[in-house]
Amino acid sequence: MRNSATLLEVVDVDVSFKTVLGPLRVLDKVSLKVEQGEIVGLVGESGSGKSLTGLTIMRLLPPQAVTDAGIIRFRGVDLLGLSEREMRRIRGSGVAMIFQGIRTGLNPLMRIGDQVARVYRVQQGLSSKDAYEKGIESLQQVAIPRAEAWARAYPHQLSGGMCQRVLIAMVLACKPDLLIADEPTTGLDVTIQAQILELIKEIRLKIGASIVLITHDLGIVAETCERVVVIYAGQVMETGTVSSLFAEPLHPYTQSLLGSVLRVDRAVALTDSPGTTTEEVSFRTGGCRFAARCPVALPQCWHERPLWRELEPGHGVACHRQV
Amino acid sequence: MEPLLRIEKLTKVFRQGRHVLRAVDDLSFEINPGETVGLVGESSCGKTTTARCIMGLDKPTSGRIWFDGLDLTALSRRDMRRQRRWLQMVFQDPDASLNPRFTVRRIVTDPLRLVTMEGRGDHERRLQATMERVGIPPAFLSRYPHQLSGGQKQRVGIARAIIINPKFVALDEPTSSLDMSIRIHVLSLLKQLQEELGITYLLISHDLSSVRSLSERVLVMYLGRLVEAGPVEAVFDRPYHPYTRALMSAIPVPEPGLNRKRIVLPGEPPDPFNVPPGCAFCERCAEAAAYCHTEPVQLREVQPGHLVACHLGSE
Amino acid sequence: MEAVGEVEGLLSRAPESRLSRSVLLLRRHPQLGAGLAILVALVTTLALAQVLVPYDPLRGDSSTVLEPPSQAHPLGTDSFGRDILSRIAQGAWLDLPIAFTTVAIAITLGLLIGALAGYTGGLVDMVVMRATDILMAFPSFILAMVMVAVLGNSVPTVVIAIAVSFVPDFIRLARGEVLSERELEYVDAARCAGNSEWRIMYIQLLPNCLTPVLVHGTLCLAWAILDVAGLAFLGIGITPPTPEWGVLVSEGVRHTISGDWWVSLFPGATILLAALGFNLVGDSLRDITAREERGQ
Repeated sequence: MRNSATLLEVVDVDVSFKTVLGPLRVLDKVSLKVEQGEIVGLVGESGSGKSLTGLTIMRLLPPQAVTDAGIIRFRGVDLLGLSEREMRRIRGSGVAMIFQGIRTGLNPLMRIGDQVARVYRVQQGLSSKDAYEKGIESLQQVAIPRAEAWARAYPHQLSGGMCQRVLIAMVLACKPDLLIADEPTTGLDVTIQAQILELIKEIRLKIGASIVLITHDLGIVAETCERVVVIYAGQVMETGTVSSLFAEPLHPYTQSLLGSVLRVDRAVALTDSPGTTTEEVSFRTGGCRFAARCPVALPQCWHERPLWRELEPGHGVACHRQV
Repeated sequence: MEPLLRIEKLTKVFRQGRHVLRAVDDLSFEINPGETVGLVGESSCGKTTTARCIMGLDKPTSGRIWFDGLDLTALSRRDMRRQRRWLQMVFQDPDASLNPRFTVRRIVTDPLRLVTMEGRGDHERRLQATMERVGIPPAFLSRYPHQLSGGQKQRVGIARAIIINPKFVALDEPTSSLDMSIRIHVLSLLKQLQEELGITYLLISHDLSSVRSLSERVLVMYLGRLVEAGPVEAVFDRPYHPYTRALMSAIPVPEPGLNRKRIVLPGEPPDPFNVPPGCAFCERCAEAAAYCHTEPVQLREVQPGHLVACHLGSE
Repeated sequence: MEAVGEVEGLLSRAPESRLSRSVLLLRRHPQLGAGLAILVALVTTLALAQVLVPYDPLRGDSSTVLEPPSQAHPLGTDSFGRDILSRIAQGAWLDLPIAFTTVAIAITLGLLIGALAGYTGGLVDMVVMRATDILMAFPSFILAMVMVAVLGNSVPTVVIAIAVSFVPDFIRLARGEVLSERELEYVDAARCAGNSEWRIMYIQLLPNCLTPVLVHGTLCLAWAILDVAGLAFLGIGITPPTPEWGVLVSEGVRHTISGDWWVSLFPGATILLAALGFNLVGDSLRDITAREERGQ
């Protein structure tokens, strides 16, 4: 299944927000690659820009956001150069997205069976009857029990986990080449989380889609993804295969993330000094944005953006310390 | 050693017209002084309701709560208010648990009304000492909650809980809304405070990895009932109850290449309004026998200190 | 969108000066600037009038009866020879304080009663709600008319009557805010900190319920002015020779037909400007606070 065609290539994308205090560069030269058939994790904390990256790829940024620079090559075509009409054709069957905040993805006034059927009608041009039947089928595929009965329910009657499964069913109907899943399991119970992650892995098997999994949970990354991109304050800090990144994190931020990870299979010593780590995320341009929190920052880190270096094939980092 | 907190057959029932929700059902456990006990489970398992009953924010339908030998459920409102001197709580949502119109100073010093024998000078000293302990710079005292980050807000909540040096603090999901790198700092802070001040903790969390690192014992709840209890290593590493086993296998471990076998539970938890009479978990249990649906379950000790509420293996 | 909210949230923590924030606010909400400008202009003109055009508003001069606007009398004179500008300026000392007092009383009562009803619930809430229902069944102007008719014509009775007609709205607003706020965790935290229920209701909760109440209060200022003037125009409440704006308008009505348009028009225009100013400010405050609640 894996032929090494690069499905998605994001190259040096800059995105700014127009705010009352002036333009705010929220994505600063973000680059990442997704090969055919792989699951790539996009890891960061709040304010890192991981969700915004997904929205930028889908060209679904709010009006106050401006994509200043960069290329997003999808199946060879630069998405940033397309018109809105052309982009609409790509959305859904080319690139699809599951958004953060489960309930906002579903129309509260439509029964879920109709919503899934609508996707089939629009994407595959089926008749109402056929689309509805296919809709029931896809609900069954995502393990919704008694699908015919539940198809007549409204979103508010469903639990969080079931809503997420309906969204996945709708995505399956589109048969996208690339799925961007933005925190698909946040807010769900752990046991439901496991179900959803299994479903997402099945999506790759069933329709051969590549997946960008946006999350803050390193456990999910370790168990679900093949490669991972670490992003902080709109700058990509490190990328690599999951095994090499976890085994040998190169960037101080990745190291601190892995150092602060808690596990359920063993107790982590809580002797770390509980001092005030700066939580302020700085959005200055010029220089590495992690400098303020970096324990090994050099003077040049503050005004010189480190160049991207690939220290092993597939394991790259942007850090002055890694020379 | 006498337990500091003893919950005896606590039951809390909510009624909505004809529907009855047994949020907490016949729950009993003890917490010893200086211990940290974790209370875990997924949504609508009853852990938050249990904490609220202990803190006197909700009135139990039946059962008793013994604190330091005193029956909290039998107290008048005024007496309960006085007991708050020794029982405090850190709340889950730092945005909602701090009064947006109060300064940090006012928020943190609010509980000082419970300490009657002190003058203003003593209060000021307490405030300074507390701020230093939780790591908030004094400049922040005049700030408002919306000017603080998530971690800072949570520290303010912790400062408020410990300023009067209580014996017991209920921690309701203290790190759920925080980023990973902040989480470990807040947990370290809580541990340090416990060592310095000798506080007993009840840690309520759905994040089992936090519980692992902070607690000595853990209680697992499912739909209002206690299904397993024991030392945290025993319960997490060698779980007996099918639900605990599924729970443990569902949690992703941040170590690639482990290739664990995952127990994926079918279906959804049953409607909390319609809990089956037997074991609450039977409908999703892979090993359920016929009598699991009808026979109520009792807690039994399978190892010293390790209790399980399950019919299996008890013949 | 949560990603956007995150960015804006990070921005809101950036400390900036009060002045720059105010300037930004005015730029974003031109209505606010316009409303404030009108009010400031009005108040300044009237305050200066007493200095620049020093006629006694109550003393008539039979030699200058019904004179059109001129240099000596910028807004003309009325049928008693009294300078209209001076009378309007004098009236401001009546109308504006009455409006503010009325609204202040209504807000205070509304907050106290509404918070009690919303927080306590049960029987108290039900009684309060039915009482407000009854009051709200009457058009507020008619209600005020009836009350003044019963209580007699004087400034205090007008104030009370109009305040009472406003109170039900404030009770509802306060109650609504309290109902949603009391579920928040800081209320539980206040209980854990040993606050009595009364303290929680009035000291912890109330300050968080002020915003919609104050916004509505600003709009009520406009209504208050219109109500006082309206009542006075009908001869209810404040009567001649007191130079209240509504009285001035009614005094000038009969002269309008005979061509002396200035006697009614200028007091009328003053009422209009005052109400408009408060209205613009109130509307823009409502927009601003609504945006704040949405996290912008």
